[in-house]
Amino acid sequence: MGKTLVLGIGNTIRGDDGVGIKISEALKGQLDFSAVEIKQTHESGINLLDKIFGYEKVVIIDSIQSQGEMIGDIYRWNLLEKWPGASAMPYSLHNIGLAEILNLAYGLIDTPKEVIIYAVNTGDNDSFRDTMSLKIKRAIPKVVELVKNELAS
Amino acid sequence: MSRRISINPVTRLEGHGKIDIFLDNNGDVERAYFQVPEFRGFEKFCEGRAVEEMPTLTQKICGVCPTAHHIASTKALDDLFKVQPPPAAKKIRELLYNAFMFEDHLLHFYFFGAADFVIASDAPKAERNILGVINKVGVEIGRKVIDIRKRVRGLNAMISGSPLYPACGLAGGVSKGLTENDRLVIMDTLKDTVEFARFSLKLFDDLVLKDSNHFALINADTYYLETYYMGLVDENNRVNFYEGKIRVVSPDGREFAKFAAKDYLKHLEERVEPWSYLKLLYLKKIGWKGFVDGKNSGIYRVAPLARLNASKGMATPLAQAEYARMFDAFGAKPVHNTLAYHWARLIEVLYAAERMMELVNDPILTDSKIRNIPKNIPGEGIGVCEAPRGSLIHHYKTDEKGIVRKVNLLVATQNNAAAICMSIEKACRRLIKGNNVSEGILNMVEMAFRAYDPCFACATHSLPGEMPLIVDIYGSKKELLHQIKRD
Repeated sequence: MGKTLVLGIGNTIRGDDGVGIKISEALKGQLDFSAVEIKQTHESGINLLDKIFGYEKVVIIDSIQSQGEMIGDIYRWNLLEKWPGASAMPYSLHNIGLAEILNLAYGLIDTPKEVIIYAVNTGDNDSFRDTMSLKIKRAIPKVVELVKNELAS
Repeated sequence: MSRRISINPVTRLEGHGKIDIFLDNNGDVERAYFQVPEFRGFEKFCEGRAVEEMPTLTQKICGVCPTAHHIASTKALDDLFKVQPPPAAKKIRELLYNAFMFEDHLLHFYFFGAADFVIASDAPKAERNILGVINKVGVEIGRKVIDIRKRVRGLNAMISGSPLYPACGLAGGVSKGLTENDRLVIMDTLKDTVEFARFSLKLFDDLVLKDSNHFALINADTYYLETYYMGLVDENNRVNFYEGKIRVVSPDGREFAKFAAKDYLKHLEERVEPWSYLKLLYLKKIGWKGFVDGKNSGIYRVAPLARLNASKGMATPLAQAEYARMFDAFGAKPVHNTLAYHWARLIEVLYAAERMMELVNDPILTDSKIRNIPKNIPGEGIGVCEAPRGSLIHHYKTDEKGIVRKVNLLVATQNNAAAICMSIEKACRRLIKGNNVSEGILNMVEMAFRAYDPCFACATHSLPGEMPLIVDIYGSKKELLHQIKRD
C-alpha cells in the first residue's frame, strides 16, 4: 500500500456530483504510482474508513454545495491546519460524516496524518443525469494541475 | 397552550429525520411525532424499467444496506420468472448475505449500541462520538472491528463484484461461481469471525449485563413496549435471514400468523400519516388502533429482537445457547424491552458467523452449476429477506416483456416505524417533566430509536446519504427556545 492516497468521491449519475470521480480519473497516468495510489468511490459514511485506513496522506476530491458562492469555484483545505472536531454521537450508520471518519482513523491508527481536500462548488448534485454542467467541466483540468503540483511539492 | 419541542435536522442531506415534541402547560409531554420529511419514490421511477435492472437499481435506495435490497430483489426475480436457482447459487447468495449481516450488525454495536451504555448520557459532545466509544472499549478492539469488517466486506466484493453494491444477483442464480481457491480464501478470511462474535457478546456481558445500572436501564419502563413481533423462520421456526416463511407472534408469545411472502398483502397493511413520508405498517387482521401497544393493536416490530421473539430458536449451536441465555435472563418470551435489541443483534452476529462457516465448508458451494435460465414469461414476483433492520419485501408486476409496471417495497424500517414513534413518545413522556429538557435527556430519547438502527433512506426510498437530526424546543407561544443538533 502506497503512503499517499488520492481519493475521488462522487456519484456519476447525479450530475455535477461526479466531479470528484472525473478529476481522479484524469489524474491517472499523470502521477508517480510508486508513491501515490488513486482510488475512486461513490461510498459515503463509514464505508470511507476502509478506503483511507492506513495512508499517511490523503487527498480527497469531491463536490460541495456552498450557497452564495460561484459554481465552479475550487476550494482547498488542509485539515492539519484545522482538524475537524467530531460531532455528537450519530444515531445511525447513515449519520457518519467525513469528520467522524477522519477522527476515527486518526484515533485508531494515528493515520492519516495529513488530509487535503479539494472541492468544486456545484449547483446541482441531486438530479439524476450522467452529464455535468459546463462550469464544472472547466474546473476539472484546473484541479488536476493543483493536485499534481500539491503532490510534486 | 402547549409548548412544542422540535427535533429537526439541519445539514445538507436528502434523507433526514425530525422529531416534534409538544409539551403541555405543565411542561410535560403531551405528544411526540417522529417525522421523515424526505421523499424520493423508487416505487414510481422504477416503473418502465427492465425488471432485470431492479437488483442493481433498488440497492441504491440505501448506501448502508444495499445487499438486502439486492437479495430481496433477486429473489423477486426468481419468483417473477418462476425459476429456482440451483443449490450452489442459493448457498453463494446466502454466504454473501450472512457476511453482510455480520459486518453491518457488528458495526452498529460498536459504533452506536455500545455508546448508550459506555458513555454517560449527559457527557459532553466531545466524548459522545465514535472515538469516545472506541476509547472506552479499547483502541485495539476498535482496530479489530475495522479490520474484521474490512476483510468481510472484501469477501462481499469477491463474491458479488463490489463491497457496497453487489452485482451478482440474477433471476435463477448468480453471475459468478466460486472456485476451490476462492473457498480457501473465504475460509481464511472467516477464521476469526466466530471468535470475535463470541468476544463481542462477552463484552456486552461485561459492560452491560453485569452492571446493575445498565441492566436496570434495559429493564426500565421508559423503553418497554408490548407489541407483536415478525421475522423470517425456517421449517423449524428458527431464525433465517435468507429464506423461509414470515412468522408473527403476539405480545404473549403465541403464533399469530405464519405465511409465505406471496401472501403478505393478506396480513400487512400500509398507512399514511399526513405528517410524514414514512408509511407505517400494521397487522391487517388486528387493525390500526392508533399509536398504542398491546394485543389489540396491530402494531408490530421487526429486526433482531423481533426476529428472536418470533422464532423458536437459532439454527446454529453457539447462537442457540446465547438465545436461550437471553430469554432466561429476562425470564420471559417475548422480550419487550427495546434496548434488548442490542443484545439480540450480537446474537445474530454470532449466528451469521457460524452460518458462514457452515456454508464455506459445504462442498456444494463450489459447484459449477450456478444458474437456471428463466424460460417463463414474467408477470408478478415477490421476494423477502431479513435486512439488518427488519423484514424486507420486494413486489414487482411486469408486462410480458419484463418491463416493470408496478413496484411495492415494504422496507425494514417501515415495519418498525409506528413502534419507533411510540418508543420516542414514551421516552419523552417519562423523561421530560416540568419543562426540564437537557441534552442528556434528549440523548436518552435518542436511545429509544437508536436501538432499532433505523434506516430512513430505505423507509422513504430516498437516496443514500447521511441522516441528520436536530431538536428544536418551542415554548408555549411556539417560540424557539433551544436547539440541539446531530449533524
